[in-house]
Amino acid sequence: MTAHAILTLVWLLVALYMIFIYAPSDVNQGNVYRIMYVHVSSGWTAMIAYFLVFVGSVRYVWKRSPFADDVACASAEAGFIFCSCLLITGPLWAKPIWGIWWTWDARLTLTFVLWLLFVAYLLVRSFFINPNRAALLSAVVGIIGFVDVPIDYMAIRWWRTQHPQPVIMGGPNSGLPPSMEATLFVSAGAFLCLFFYLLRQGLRLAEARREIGQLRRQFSE
Amino acid sequence: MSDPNNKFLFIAYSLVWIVFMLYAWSLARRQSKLKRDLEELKSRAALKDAPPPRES
Amino acid sequence: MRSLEIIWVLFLKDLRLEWRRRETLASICVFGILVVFLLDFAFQPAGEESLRLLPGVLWIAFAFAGILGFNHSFAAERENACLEGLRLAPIDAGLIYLAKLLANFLFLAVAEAVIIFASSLWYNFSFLPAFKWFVVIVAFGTLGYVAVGVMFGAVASNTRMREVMLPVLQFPVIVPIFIGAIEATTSALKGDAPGQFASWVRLLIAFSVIFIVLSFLLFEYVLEE
Repeated sequence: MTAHAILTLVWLLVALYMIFIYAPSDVNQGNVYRIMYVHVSSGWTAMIAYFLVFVGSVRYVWKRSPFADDVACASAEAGFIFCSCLLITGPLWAKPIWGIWWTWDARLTLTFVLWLLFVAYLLVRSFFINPNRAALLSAVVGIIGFVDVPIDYMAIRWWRTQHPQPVIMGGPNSGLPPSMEATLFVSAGAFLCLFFYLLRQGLRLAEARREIGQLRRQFSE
Repeated sequence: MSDPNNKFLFIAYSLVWIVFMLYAWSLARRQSKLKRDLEELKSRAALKDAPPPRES
Repeated sequence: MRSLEIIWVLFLKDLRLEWRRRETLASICVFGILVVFLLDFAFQPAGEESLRLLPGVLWIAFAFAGILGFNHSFAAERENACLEGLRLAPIDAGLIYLAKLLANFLFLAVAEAVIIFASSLWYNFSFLPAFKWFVVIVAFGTLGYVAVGVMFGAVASNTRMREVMLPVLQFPVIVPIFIGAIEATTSALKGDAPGQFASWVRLLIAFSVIFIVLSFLLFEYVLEE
């Protein structure tokens, strides 16, 4: 674990250097565009996290593997954190550049829905004392939620292309200069590394919880 | 570099930092609580299995 | 087929329960009408505006009525441990889901009819010109919504804060259904040719099918103890 911690720290520091010193200022947006690095990195990580929630949930429902449930649960927690960062950094970048904090365009709406799916999973989990019930019901929610994502994507995209966009968005990924691209990939990598570190910490917690549960049950016999 | 938008940059990175610190703290706190519970259970188990005091 | 018989019996059970107490149907009708009334009062749409507002108003009313209905549906089961009884019966859990789906669909459909009638009066709007397509859209929108609502109603009824849990769980999942339903309703009521909103209707149908099948398969895990 310590090796992972050190790797994460170093990677984050390198990313930080690249974000603030290596990457140049943007012609149009100045310095504030640098939020993009942490914003996009959070986004990719959150989506990977949700995919892991889905995989863990399916495996748990199918095989009742405690490890699968641990992965789903820990991914949901960490994913929720990254998704929250996504929703926090987004408006903070939008306000200076677009002049508005929020708009119901396709991507933002989808992100909000994803965030709610994380909340739903964690909420269902928190309401059960019996760990098996918690695992099973949250797995069901995780599966239903994941199936919902592509449908949401389609529906929201159709919806938003029917209405005139209130704001013109020049997507930042329409051709990044190589230095920015490199910075973005290093940042995304650092965030993923951090995600897996947090995931493993979560797995340790889950394992400890199960060990305690087992000991307690032995006691009452 | 007196770009007025810089404050948004600062706030964004600060908030992200704070969020992760809070989460790390939450993980650490839960970790230590579980560790304490585990120690307590283990010591109680040891007591239970301890041989009864000899009488003579 | 035995399965169909089982579904029918369970469906009739829910109807009979409702007929005796008449709580659910009455409350969701009243609640739906209340929403329509309040929104009419707040916006006081004049003529053209009715067309712009009505799809949203209708589906908001349907959404809230639905939540009330789903909560009631499972609350009744919990009261007398009926859910345990059902679980112990040697029937496929998915069939219980389908029966509940049918019952809730019927109740919500009745409430929607009342809501539509009331809004037609109060907003001075006639649904008759586009009636056929309007009914199709409402039917499939409701079907998809009830499919999700019954499933999450069952999940939520297991928890302590079930009244709050249901809408929170449902919200992200029903986004596409409500977007599709409102868009299609707006288009149909405006008098657009069916080709304009056909893709939305297809989305509603696909959503309904996917979530009915998914819920059917997963329902046994929700009932499991």
